Amino acid sequence: MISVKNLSFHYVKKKVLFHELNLELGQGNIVGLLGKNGAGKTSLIKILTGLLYPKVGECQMLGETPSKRSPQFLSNVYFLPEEIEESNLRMDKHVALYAPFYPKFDHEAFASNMTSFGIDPSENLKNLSYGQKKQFYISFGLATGCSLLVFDEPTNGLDIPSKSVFRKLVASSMTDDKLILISTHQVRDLGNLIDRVLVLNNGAIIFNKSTEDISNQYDFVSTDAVPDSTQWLYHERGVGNGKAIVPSQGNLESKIDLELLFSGIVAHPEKFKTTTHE
Amino acid sequence: MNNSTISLQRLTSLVKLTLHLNLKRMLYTACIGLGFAILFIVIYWNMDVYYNDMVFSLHEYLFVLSLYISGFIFTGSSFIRFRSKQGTIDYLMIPASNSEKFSSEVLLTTLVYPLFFLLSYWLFSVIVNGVLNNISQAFFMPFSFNIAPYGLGLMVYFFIQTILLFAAVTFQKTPLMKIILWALLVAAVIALIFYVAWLNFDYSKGTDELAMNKLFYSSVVYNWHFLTIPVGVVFSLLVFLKLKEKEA
Repeated sequence: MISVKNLSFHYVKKKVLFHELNLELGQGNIVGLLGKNGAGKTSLIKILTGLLYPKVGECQMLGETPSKRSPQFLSNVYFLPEEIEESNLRMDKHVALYAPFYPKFDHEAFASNMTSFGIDPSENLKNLSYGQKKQFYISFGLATGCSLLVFDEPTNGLDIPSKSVFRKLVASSMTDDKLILISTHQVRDLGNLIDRVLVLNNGAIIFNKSTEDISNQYDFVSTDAVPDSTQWLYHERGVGNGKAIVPSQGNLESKIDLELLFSGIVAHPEKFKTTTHE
Repeated sequence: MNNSTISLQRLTSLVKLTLHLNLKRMLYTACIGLGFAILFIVIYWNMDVYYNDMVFSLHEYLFVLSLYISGFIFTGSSFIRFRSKQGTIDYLMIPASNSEKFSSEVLLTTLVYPLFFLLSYWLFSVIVNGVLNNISQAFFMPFSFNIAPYGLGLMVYFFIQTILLFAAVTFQKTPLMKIILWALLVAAVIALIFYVAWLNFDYSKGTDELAMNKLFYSSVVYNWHFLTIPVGVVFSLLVFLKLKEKEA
């Protein structure tokens, strides 16, 4: 679904953001695109959605070149940016005006999503808080029926119950022919939602593994459980017991700690080195 | 044209969206145009030029003049969404082709707004005539919709629209200042062309100043006004290309 080959990109010539970046992502996945602030997440997303043009290299999405911005491509891609445009429309009016552009738009799903968030569609967008606006656009995006959904920092501004609703809605709207790409630096918010982790650091993809592979290859343990520090790929001291990532022993049942994994990858990328697509 | 270039269904949806998002801007700009018309009438009223007389063609003339002013403001403030990053993303992500986005903007500035202003002006003229014809001895003729004599002026209007549309899509940072400077530059170039034409004009055919003006108008302006068409097409093409290369 997404194929990026030897992509190079810069805003200013002297400061290259991406150099010969390669990436392959298939459908049926919810991918977490993780990275620190300024890692290049938003720029990569903009290139994938045709909002920025690569300087060198090839980018294909759904079999099309995003930079051509064909209506067929755009009607199959929904991008929710981190910052939302100020709008003076009522939500139901927004739907009436924008939904016709998405042939697979599901009005029932939209109404159901809005109910889950507890928002009244007859309200004007300008009267909503930032978090509520996000809820509306998430509800709209999930109802478009697009094959590719891209959310940039979707949980920014959402309160704790809404974050939970967001995870449930994304999980329930997922089908085999879709790819949902969620970019965030708030790793904890993604919880058990994603099934592939992509880490971007200094303009390079330094980690790209499915959660299944992560579970098979690493254990997330308390430092008490594996006290031998030579086995630790990464560890963090905490109040009481510390936490560590160790190569999988095969006999430990551990839940993926995304935050710990992300910190480990960013601190010691060489220990978690991965191929472009495993 | 294939479906990825122009689809009537998408174009209709886009025009609806564009209209809805620009309705307030249309109203505000039309008010500026009508405000100018009021100012013009007040000034002439105080000059007693039309006192105790029939006033012909005032509204037709004033309509074209106020359409110029408000239309330039309206077109100059097109692509207003490009002035914020979020607006740019939202606009570029609308599932419509570049041709459709271009067409809807051109439709709005060169057809919808002038028609909207025409209706607004007609309503305005009915009210103004109602008031003026009651309080004065002059008789102001109703707005006749006969703007054919101003056809050339309207043609130039549409030509200038394309230049302003180009400025609106090009200048996103401090747009107001740049668009004003751009408009002044365009006006200066047109004035220069006319000045050169005037310098090279054969004065021997004219008998007095008025006759010479008429002669100049008919021989230079009338014969060369068709040039506005290719120049307008070139600027329209530039707007199209600018839209195509737009990034967020």
